[in-house]
Amino acid sequence: MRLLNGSEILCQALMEEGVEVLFGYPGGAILPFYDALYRAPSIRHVLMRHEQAAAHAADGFARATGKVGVVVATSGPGATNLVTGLATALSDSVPIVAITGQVPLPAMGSEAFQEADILGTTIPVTKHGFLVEDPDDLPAIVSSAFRLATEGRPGPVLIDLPKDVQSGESGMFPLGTRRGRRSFPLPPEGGGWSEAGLDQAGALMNQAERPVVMAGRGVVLSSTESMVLELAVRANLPVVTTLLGLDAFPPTHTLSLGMPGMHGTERANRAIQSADVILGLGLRFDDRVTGPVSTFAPHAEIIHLDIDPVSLGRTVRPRIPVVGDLRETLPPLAARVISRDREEWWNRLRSWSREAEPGSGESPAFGPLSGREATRALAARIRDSGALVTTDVGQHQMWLAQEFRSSVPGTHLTSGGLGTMGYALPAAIGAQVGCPDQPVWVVAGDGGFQMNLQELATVVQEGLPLKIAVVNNGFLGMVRQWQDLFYEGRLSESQLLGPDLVSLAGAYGIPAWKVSKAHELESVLDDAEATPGPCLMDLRIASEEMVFPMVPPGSGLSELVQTHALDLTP
Amino acid sequence: MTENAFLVRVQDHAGALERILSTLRRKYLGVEKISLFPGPRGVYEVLLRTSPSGASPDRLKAELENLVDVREVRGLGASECLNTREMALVRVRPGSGPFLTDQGRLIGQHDDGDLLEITGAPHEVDAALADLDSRDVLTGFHRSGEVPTPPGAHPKEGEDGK
Repeated sequence: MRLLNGSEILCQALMEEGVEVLFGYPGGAILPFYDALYRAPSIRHVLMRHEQAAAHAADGFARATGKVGVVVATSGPGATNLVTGLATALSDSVPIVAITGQVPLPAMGSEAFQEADILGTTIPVTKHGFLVEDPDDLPAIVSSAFRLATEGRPGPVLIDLPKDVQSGESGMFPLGTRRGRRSFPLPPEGGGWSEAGLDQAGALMNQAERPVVMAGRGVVLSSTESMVLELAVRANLPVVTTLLGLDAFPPTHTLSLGMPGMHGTERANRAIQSADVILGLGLRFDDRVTGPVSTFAPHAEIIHLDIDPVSLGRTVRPRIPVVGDLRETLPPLAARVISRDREEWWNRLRSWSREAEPGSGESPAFGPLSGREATRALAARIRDSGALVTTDVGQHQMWLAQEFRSSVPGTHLTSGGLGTMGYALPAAIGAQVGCPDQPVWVVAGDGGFQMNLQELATVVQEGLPLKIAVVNNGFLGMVRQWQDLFYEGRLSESQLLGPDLVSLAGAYGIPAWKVSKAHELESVLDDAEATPGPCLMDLRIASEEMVFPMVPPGSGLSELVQTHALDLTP
Repeated sequence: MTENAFLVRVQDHAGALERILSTLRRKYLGVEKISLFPGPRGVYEVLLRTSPSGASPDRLKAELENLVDVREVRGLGASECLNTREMALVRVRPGSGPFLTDQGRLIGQHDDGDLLEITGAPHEVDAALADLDSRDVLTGFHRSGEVPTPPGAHPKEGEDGK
């Protein structure tokens, strides 16, 4: 019987990990693997048009399905193009395994054609990286990589695979008589919580007159949304949800205060600033949520539950840190929390606005479309159809987050930590591949869309029925907003010339519509939903519109600015 | 401001040391001293002493422990730091070696210079080198870097000979 080569072992190892889809782009140093892939029909390969997009697609696949996303690239520029995607995944705790081709081992360090030290390059943007030096090590390395990507706080792991290792004969036969010479021992899973700590946390919650629960992406990752809901309902606890945890708690529930932070609701931000106890569940307390740490929640004792020991105390110092998986730490804590009325606290909470911009967004029926109105309508369609949505970064991202009303966990995909423009379209490709029976909407700005619009070709080639809405103001909208507000209106390099998106979509054979009047919006959304394949909506909004509420950078959450006075009448 | 010293046990895998140094760099910590010694089963011990900073030793320890290849991190307290040892191989002017045995052990005499071996606590090695330099006999040296004493009783000051 013929012995397997490294590429065949890799295919086999991926299949043993349950991998059914790869997102990638071939090139010289990864060709032996692609050759083996040609003979592995059970693995689908989605040919992207850029490696950065391939990484985002793997990210979208992982977020939408809960499985590990796998991305493949060649050496040198193919590998370095992954960096932004890996950093995005690291920031947002997304499990990805990236496989990169590498020049042969003897050529490494010789500045060979398409050689880059990708293991070194990606050290700050991955959880871990492996350089494979022997094909016999591949089963153990692949197994370790998948375990690392998902274990603890999830994140990206890189496997760098020299070309001679891909081609090299191993000591293995087909169907896995594994004879790996080396093992790759991993550290034991950490955990750091005690009954005494939970007793303290429970007592603190029960004494609290003004408690607030802050739920983050860790709640979604641990699938503890129902536990959080049960605890909140039973103990009458108000809940705020971070950008990455928007789907961790039903946004229309009476206990939901909305999103906190720079563009959070008045109710969420004032609640945090007035709280006497904050229960943080699976979040990082990042600076967009807290503002300056010295001003954050000045009256509150903080209980912080998170799986990542490094996240505890990195910004906000908790009085009670609890390290562990929420599936293990939340139930015993919840069991210690009793129901309390707290009517006075709720009366205060209700005095603050839950809506992002009360009364805004209703543009005149025949007037220009507003960004607020467009995203509100999109959010309603997304909720009503049970769709997944991916967003890019900027004004549209904040509007949609503020208007997001879906109660289905895992349906809101955005680059919250790194803030990666160009994320939405390729992430949606991954999400749609992973969830073929679920509608997937892309909501992007015209700036971010132009960063990865080459992926329209992938959408068509793969036959993915994405509904793509570009909220188009001809500007880098959030940059312009900051320039208007904080740089005395000097609009330095924020105006963008864009293509005619309807014609562009047409060039790819994608039906498209332009909407510039408010009254045109609903019928175009109807048409989009009725279109069986992909389609694109170019939503032209006023360039001067801003996102409010807003906490000015460097200010505390109490200093939020609630409204603006933009006149949208024609 | 705290000076941080750690003993890190790390699996010998590609990129392992770079990850440790990258973690420190992201905290704006300069590595002032680093020593690396092989241990059993491909686990290396790295002694790191960083520049003083506002970073809490506990936080740094947690971040280092979070790295996949790191098996153990031990913060070295003040007493342990005092009990690290170091060796220097010192070349002095030809013929001067026999007169310098109060500073170190004479291990070779050659036409281009005599060779002394000096061991001791890092500050003792510092002092010995400074003394040789002041006598104008020092022509070159290499230092091994600090080696921590294993857990257990520490040697008393001066117990290990120069």
